[in-house]
Amino acid sequence: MQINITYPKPPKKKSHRSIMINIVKDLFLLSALLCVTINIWAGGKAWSIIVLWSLYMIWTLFIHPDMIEYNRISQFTKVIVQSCIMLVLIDVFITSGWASNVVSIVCFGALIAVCLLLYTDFERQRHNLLPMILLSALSFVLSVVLMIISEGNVPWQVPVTFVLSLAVLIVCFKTMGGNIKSELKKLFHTI
Amino acid sequence: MRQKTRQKEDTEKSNISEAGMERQKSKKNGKKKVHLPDISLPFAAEADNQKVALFLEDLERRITLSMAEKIALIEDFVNALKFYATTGLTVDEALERLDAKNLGGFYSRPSNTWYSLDNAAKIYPFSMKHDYMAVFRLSAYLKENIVPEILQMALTFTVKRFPSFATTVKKGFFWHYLDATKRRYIVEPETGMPCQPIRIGRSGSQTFRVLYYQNRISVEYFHILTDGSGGMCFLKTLVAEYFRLLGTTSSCDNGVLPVNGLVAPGEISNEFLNIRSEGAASGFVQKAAVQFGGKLARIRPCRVIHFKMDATALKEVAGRKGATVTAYILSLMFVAGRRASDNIEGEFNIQVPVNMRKFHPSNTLRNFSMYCGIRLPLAEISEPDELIPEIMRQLTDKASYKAMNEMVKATNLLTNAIRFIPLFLKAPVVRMVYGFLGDRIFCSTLSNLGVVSLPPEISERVDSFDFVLGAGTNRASCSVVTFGNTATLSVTKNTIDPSFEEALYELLYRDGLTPVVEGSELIAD
Repeated sequence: MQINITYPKPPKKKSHRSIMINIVKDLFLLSALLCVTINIWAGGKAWSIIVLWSLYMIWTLFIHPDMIEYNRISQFTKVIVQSCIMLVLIDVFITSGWASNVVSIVCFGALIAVCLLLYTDFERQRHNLLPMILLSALSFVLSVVLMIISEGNVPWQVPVTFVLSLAVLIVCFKTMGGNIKSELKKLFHTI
Repeated sequence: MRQKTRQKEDTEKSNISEAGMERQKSKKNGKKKVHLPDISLPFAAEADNQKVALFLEDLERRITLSMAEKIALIEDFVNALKFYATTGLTVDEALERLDAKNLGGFYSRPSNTWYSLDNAAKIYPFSMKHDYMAVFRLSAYLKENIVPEILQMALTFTVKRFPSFATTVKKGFFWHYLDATKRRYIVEPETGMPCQPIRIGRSGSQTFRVLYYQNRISVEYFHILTDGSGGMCFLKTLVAEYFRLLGTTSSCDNGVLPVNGLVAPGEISNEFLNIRSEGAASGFVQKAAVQFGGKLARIRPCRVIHFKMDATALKEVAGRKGATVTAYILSLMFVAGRRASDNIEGEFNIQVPVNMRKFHPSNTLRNFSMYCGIRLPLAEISEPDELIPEIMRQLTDKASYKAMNEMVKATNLLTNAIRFIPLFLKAPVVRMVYGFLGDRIFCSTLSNLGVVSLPPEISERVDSFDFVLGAGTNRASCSVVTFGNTATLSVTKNTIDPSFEEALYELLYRDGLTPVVEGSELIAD
């Protein structure tokens, strides 16, 4: 069978990404298993949970990043949310009592940063509002919960987060312009 | 010769000085105006270039993209004008062909529309991997080499007629969706293997790509956008627009849409929601099939092969055996697959996409197809002719109106069941389920797009079409499309083992169909 070549000669570069992903996947799984085993065997605090979460963070942020909606706002909010979860885990499983303060500071810092990310590349980033809305909604809920459980002794960063999250939500709605209903339908459609 | 060069230089100088004068004028008038970089105008006569300058000024007003995109888009027009100038076309005719009205306001309005995914498309974002994406490709082979500048303009004018194609895939809270994206959609020279994954992650990324190589125009689509029928409509419209820009205007029939026409609501509708099927829901879960032999290549597809043959002879051979063309090719695939496998037990199961438009007439350009599986035990596979009655029976049964409606019902039920689960929870589960079902239940695919026709004015300038399925984890996939008297059977290979295509060739040859074999080079690991 004689094949007439009618396609350009393909470039010689080979993709090593899938091989790398497979190797790293095995290494990660092995590390995770080892950590859990050692932690259970040695006893003490559940530090392996922190390791597992760290591995998951590295995996989703660097080894196997998002293939859809890989933009500055989505990646930034992803890092922030995952870091906050990490802080809470450290608080719960290692040393307690500080996470609520730190997480709310991280949240309000992130809210300011995310606005900067939006306005420094507005034309392109105005199409990436969902992660921003979710981050501000989460920050809002977090600050409300913290205000309720603090019973009057509310640290300064909590009301700041509360106000900032509302402000960012307003920024998002303003960015949507006159199409708020349609934009919300787009982001939360179920069909 | 020297005189000509000097004349050209003089013209360019006068263009530049004109642009400078124009700038000074607008400064004097106090108008705030964004200026594009100086562009050398292509025509020799001063008066012609003035017309072009006015045209470009008008064009500038019609484009509200970012500055870089705006400049690139205007340069596309200038490049096309330069091409026209070299062909000796008059400036009036050139400007008429490139009339800015053809942009239809697409680039002057902000994008605020979006499209939810049709029920068949919902799976594709979940099935994506870094080295795999459900991409298929349709190509038209012209009888002349492609002019890239004109193809670029043809795409610029065509894309607005297909709003659901001018989109970027985005994540919603519950589902992915297609967000309308106003940008300069580009044509690229073909360099790599067909159907490579399209990078769709960045803001405003294209979800399809238009490629050219010698006399071939190819469009590669992420399946999320459309199916073969919709994709073919886009390609035909693009080809018709390309020929219009080259001076051959054609009528808008035979599946060619008028690029300046209005978009009908039916063209973007999710037709699965309009099927109210009664009876059982079934069709998804099947047991795993035996795969053809050979180690999967790391770069997939590692080869694409086209068997080009006489369509009348193919139909006649199939008819003589009491089969349809699809059933006949399926019988060859089963036997070729058997020869490409060391297994002697188990079953082959070949996926056959079914166009739902034949049961529910629709002009949607979105996905509107389902599939069935033709399953045969390996032990029974020996000669193609012996398989045909069983294949015909299964095709009639499994690709029937009733069976397809049952599958649509199953799809709709499944979609409904998980619609309120947030995407971040849904994604890992759906990926895992797809891993178990997905390509494993089939060993190959045969997709027959049928006969493609074009308006008679341009039909004579097109040689053939082909249709290539993207790479999954099956060792080989086949697709057929017929144009004029050329039927093209394309094989997408994911393994370097040549047994399958060699057996296929031998079987076709034995039946008197002497195919011309074309294809890409083999990429060995």
